[in-house]
Amino acid sequence: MSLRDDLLPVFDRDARALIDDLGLRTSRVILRTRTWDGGHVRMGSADDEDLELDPRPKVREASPGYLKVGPITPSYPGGGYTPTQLFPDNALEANEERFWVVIGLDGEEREYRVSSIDSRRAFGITFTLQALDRPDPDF
Amino acid sequence: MPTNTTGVGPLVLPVPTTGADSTLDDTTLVGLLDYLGFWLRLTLDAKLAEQGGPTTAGAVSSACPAEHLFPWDHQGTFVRPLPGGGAVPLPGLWAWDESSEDTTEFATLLYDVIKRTITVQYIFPELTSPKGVVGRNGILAAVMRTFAKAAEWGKHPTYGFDGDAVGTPLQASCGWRTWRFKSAKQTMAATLPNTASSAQSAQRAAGAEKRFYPSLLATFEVWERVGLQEADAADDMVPGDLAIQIVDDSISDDALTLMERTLDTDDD
Repeated sequence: MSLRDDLLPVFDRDARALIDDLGLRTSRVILRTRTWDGGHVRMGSADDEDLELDPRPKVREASPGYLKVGPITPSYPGGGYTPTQLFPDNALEANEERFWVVIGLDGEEREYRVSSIDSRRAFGITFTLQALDRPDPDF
Repeated sequence: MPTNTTGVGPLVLPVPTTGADSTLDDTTLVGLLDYLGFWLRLTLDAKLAEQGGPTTAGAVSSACPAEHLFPWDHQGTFVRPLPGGGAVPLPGLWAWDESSEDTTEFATLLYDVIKRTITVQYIFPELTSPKGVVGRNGILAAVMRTFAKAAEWGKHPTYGFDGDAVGTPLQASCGWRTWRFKSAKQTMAATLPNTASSAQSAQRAAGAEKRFYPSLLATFEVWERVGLQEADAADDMVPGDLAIQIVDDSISDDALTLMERTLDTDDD
C-alpha cells in the first residue's frame, strides 16, 4: 500500500463527503445511459439508467456553456471511480446514447458532453462538460 | 369617381383598420404556411406516430402543428420556447420574404405583377448523428416531395384557406397570379458540438457524435398582381345633356355645336 492508497479514502469519505454532507455541493452530476425501444436512437420510448456521482463533486462554471466538475476521487478499495466508470469506452448499441446530466439549484436537468478530461492528478479526476442545450440562438 | 383603394396580391391598400391592437399579417406567408402545414400533416403524421420519439415526451403527434407556423425569419430562435410557451416549437415551419421584384412574367397590358421569392424552412426536433438519424434519414426528402406535390396540385379537395370553400386553389384564396416550388436544400441546423474535444476526451473512445436539428430550406416563387384603379361602384348615373362642340381655342359662346344628346338614367 502506498501513501496514495492510504489517503484516497481520507479524501473521499472524510473530506469530500463532509463537504457534501454540509450541503455545500448544490449540483447533482449524473452519467445517463438512455436506451430506446424502437431499435434506433430517438425512436420509440426511452428508458434511462443513471450513475450519480457520490459524494457530489464540486461544479463550477469554466466559461459560458462549460462546467468544470471535480475533483472526483479515483478508485480505491471500497470507493471512488475508475476512469472507465466515468468515461465508458465500451461501444454503445444502435439504440443507446450516453450523456451527462447536471441538476442545479433550479431543479432543471441539463444535458452535457465531456469536452476534456484531466486524470493525471493523484487524488482527483477532473473533467469539463459542454452544454448540449442551445441557450443562445446566435449561430 | 375612381377609387384609390386597390389590392396588391392579397393586401388591400390603404390597409384597412380591423380594431385596436389588431395584427398586420403578410397573408401570402400566412396562407403558404397554412397550406404547406396541412399537406405535411396529411402525408407524414401517420408515419411519425408509428415511429415514436424523437424526444422522451413521446411520439411526434403532428408533422407540423397548426400553432407551429411562423411567418418570419427565426434567426436561430427556434432552439428556445416561444415567450409564454413551454416547449421548443418543433416540428415547425417558418417562412420569410427573401426578395421582391417587378417582373413582366405573367403580367398583361392591364396588370403589372411583382414576383416574391419566399424561403420556407421546415425544422424537425433534435436528432443525433450517426445513430439517431438512421431511422429518419428520409424525413427531409419526404418533406421536400410533399412541398413539390402541394405546389403542383395547388389545392386539395379537403382544404380551404381562411374560410374559403374546400378545393379552392390557394392562389385564388391569397390573390396571387400564380406560384411554384423552385428548390430545396437539406441542412443540419444548430449542430453540437461545434468545437474540438481534447485528446483525452471520452468522445474519442465512444466515436464522434453530433446533435443537430434536421432542416429543409425550400424556395417558393409567388407572383402577385398589382390591382388597377377601379371605378367606384357607388357612383350613380345621373341624367344630363351631352353636347359635342368645335371651337378654335377655348369653349365660348362662339363654339359650333355638332351634336346634342340627352343622357337618361340606367334602365333597372
